[in-house]
Amino acid sequence: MKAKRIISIMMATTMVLGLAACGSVGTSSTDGDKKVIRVATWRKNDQKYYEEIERRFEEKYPEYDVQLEFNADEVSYEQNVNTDLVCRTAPDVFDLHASGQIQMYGDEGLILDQSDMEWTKNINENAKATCTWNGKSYAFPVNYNYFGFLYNKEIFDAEGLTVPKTPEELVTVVNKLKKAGYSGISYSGMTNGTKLVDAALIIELGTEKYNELLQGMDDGTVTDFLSYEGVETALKTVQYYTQSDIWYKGYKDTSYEPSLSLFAQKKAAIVFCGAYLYGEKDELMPGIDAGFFPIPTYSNSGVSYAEVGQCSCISATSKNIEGAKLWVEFLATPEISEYLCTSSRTMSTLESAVPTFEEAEMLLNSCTGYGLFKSFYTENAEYYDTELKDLKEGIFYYGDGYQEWVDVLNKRLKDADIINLK
Amino acid sequence: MDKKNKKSKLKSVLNPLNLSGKAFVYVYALILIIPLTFAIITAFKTRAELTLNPIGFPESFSFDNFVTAWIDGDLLNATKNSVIITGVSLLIQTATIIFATFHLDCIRDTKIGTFMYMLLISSMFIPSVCAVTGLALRRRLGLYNNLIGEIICGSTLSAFGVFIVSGAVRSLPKEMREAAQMDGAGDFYYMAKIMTPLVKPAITTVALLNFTSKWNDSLGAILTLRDEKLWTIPMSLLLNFKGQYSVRHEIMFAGLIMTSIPLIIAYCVCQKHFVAALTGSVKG
Amino acid sequence: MTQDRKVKLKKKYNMVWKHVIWLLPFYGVWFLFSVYPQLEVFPMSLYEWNPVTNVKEYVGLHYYEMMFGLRLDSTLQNTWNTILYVIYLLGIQSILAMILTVALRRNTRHNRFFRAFFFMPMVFSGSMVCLTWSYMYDANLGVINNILALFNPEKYPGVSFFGINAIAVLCAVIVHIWHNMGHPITILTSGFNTVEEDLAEAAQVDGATKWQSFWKIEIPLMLPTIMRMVLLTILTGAMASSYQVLLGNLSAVADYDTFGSLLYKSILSATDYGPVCALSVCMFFVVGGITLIQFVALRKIEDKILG
Repeated sequence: MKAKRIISIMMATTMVLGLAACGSVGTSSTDGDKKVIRVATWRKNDQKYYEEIERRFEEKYPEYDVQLEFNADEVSYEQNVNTDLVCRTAPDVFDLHASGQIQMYGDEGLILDQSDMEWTKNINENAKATCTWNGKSYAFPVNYNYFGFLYNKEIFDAEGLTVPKTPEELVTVVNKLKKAGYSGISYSGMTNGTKLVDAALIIELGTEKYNELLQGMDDGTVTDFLSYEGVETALKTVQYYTQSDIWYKGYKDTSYEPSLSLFAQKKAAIVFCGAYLYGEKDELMPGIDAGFFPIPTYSNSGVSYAEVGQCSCISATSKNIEGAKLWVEFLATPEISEYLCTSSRTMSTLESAVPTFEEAEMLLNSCTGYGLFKSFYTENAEYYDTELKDLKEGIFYYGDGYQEWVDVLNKRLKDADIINLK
Repeated sequence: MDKKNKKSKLKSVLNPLNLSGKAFVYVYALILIIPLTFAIITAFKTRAELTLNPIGFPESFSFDNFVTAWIDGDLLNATKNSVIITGVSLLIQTATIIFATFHLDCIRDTKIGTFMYMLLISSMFIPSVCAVTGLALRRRLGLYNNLIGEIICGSTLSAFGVFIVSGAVRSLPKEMREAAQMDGAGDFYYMAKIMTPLVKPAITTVALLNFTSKWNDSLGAILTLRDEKLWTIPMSLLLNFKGQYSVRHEIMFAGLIMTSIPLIIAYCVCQKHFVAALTGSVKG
Repeated sequence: MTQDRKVKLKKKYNMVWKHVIWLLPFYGVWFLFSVYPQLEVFPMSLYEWNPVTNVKEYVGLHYYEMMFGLRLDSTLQNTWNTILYVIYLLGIQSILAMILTVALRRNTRHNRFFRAFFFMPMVFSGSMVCLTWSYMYDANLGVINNILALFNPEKYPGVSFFGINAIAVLCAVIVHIWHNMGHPITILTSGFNTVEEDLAEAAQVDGATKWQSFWKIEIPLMLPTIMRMVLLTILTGAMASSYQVLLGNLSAVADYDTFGSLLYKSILSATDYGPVCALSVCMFFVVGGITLIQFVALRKIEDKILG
């Protein structure tokens, strides 16, 4: 009798808990009378600002109900988006990095082609190009950020240093800092490791030519990495920096935090990172007045390397495409773009929007222009990506001569003979 | 006589081998405790203290971080998920194991019985490399990213569990089954009321092992649970406290301590069972 | 007579089939979730499998060719990392476990407390353990670096433990051992307890020292247990993935990855499941081979001792 009771209690509990589990996280396209728009992003830091934008949107379009989803961990966020697209349960609007993945999704028809939307007319051409492949714009780039060197103004003043404009000047500045007891330039190896090489290449070549080069390597039409003008000066710049020992040693596999905390603790006076850190400066580097200067290269163009932040894509299987489009268009109005960019301390991609945060003017004045990084879906990357990665790592981490690495890469490209594949 | 014993005892204690053995033990105990100490210390620091004074003691012992951890990490939700997933799948899996073991034992003399048993047991020794295809299968079946999927996949027949309980069941005398049959007991009755209480130690061992591995499973859950609202406790700790550029260590450790305390208490209470469970059968 | 026998046999078969039928659903579910995916890995390694669109395109042995041809360096690097992992694990864990077991051998209260204390980390989740230890290893905020800096404050650059492969693997192994020390200690302790103590005492009465009786009598009798533990350690080490992944980066493949962690990271970040399946197949054969060899070796040694 007792056992029977225990068993029946256990089974009842199981059923109850099981039913509780059944209540899954399904969302319908309508919630009461309002139509639901699901918006997902990894920018949990900007949660307050997005909520304000949501408020304004719902004021303007009361028939819609926006549901914001934040997932701070970029890795799991991107994996989730990936699987959601597979299961056809993707949010209506979701953010992605401007990478070849967007091109892949777009070509497969999983995200909408936004080429006919209003924002394409108001947006900066360079920014639009980062999300456009074969004439189709698959995502709206919300903002962009300069990427270069953040420096501690106080320390520079104390040591009597000025902002360097040429590679030689930078090396002199770092050597003086080292004599004064500060460390080399700090950087996050895990996330930004070989970014310096990409940055130098984009500054020297310009975004278009750089992309031509990469596309050429993937097609098999380019078998000599140095065949484009500017590649050699870019690689020489990076090699010169590393051989002059300006980097903080041993940071190859570390993440952001240690590099920034070095800067915050005033052990390093310069850190290589993006200007988006101004958005979190109170938390990450309290009490430090940080200035910015772009990466000096041999051509002395004064151009800065920049990256697009988040790009909003619309899911093609969304049940509420109208609403999703309205949301993206709303984000692309100058007023909202200015609000978001000022609050998160990023630069706006719209021509008419000028963010007004503290450092905005300083950033704009620090360089003569900017080159945006654009990537595309590389089908045949497996044939040469290791050699390309070795080239970047060899020059940046070990200061090896660039010629030997280029020779290895060129040989690989010739041997792979991609143009005659299949 | 006494003096001689004491002298030899002293000699054996001061034996260099003995001393070095003891030294190893204490040094290892220190290594064990240091990370835990630092976790505890850090949980009480503020962010500024963390960067400026990483290894010292915190200035004040405030519980702010704990409150923040509870709220930001959504630990209530995570605990609920952990409890549901682990509890339900444990119940189902234990029942499954008892059931399967009983039936396997009934037919153990027949050819087909031995074949089925060997099939199950031999799968223990084959390396399991099916993570990718298992994931794809679950997506196809719709068992991805929901609690039902976790529960169903967590309650499949566990070869190790069957092995352990089988060992215990086989040691039961055969006469008992026959006597029960003569007394008119049905299969289910025998299984539930007679067999189970007799093999309780083995069942407890298996249940505890499955409980610990399910409760603590973090990597597997990362692959299959994507929704923030479905995260279990280990996933919550791992993924919720990462800002985009930094990890909020002090809050993370506060959360870690809060969620570890029940485990430590459970361990202290039923330590013997834990040890038996987590090391499995030595004969195995 | 034959009629009676026939009836009895029929009853027996009915009974047997009754049990088999009861078992079928459970075996069915087990087969679906454990066996079928395992089998599916092999043919799938010959296809280019896009995880988003689920489109599969036959490519034959392309991925194997890449792994052992073009990308041989990184395959060898991963193999070396895995071998390193196993060597470190086997070396450090076995010896340390042995020393601690022998030191805590007698069943005093003091020893029991320490055994229970050393076992405790096994109760924690792998992620909790790795979070704690990654803080210790952190290049700038890390405890270890800061303690070392106390001794050499000015010029200490802050070691990045994961910069050098051999050290990165060692760090992961240290965490592995820290987490799992309870396991070998318990197995060895019960192993020692089963070794008959009279034998050791008899040897000592006959004039052997404690040291001699330990090495010449107890260890050889313990050999089966030790061998089993060695086998388990090697298998665990070869397929270990959690510690490297959780200490480092969840999805970015790094130079210090072993096969297990490479597999996990590939699943998380793959744009193509084909190479992941190929990797799984290779791991299967390698680990399966090791298991087989050790099985055979274990049987031979056991026969030798007991025979």
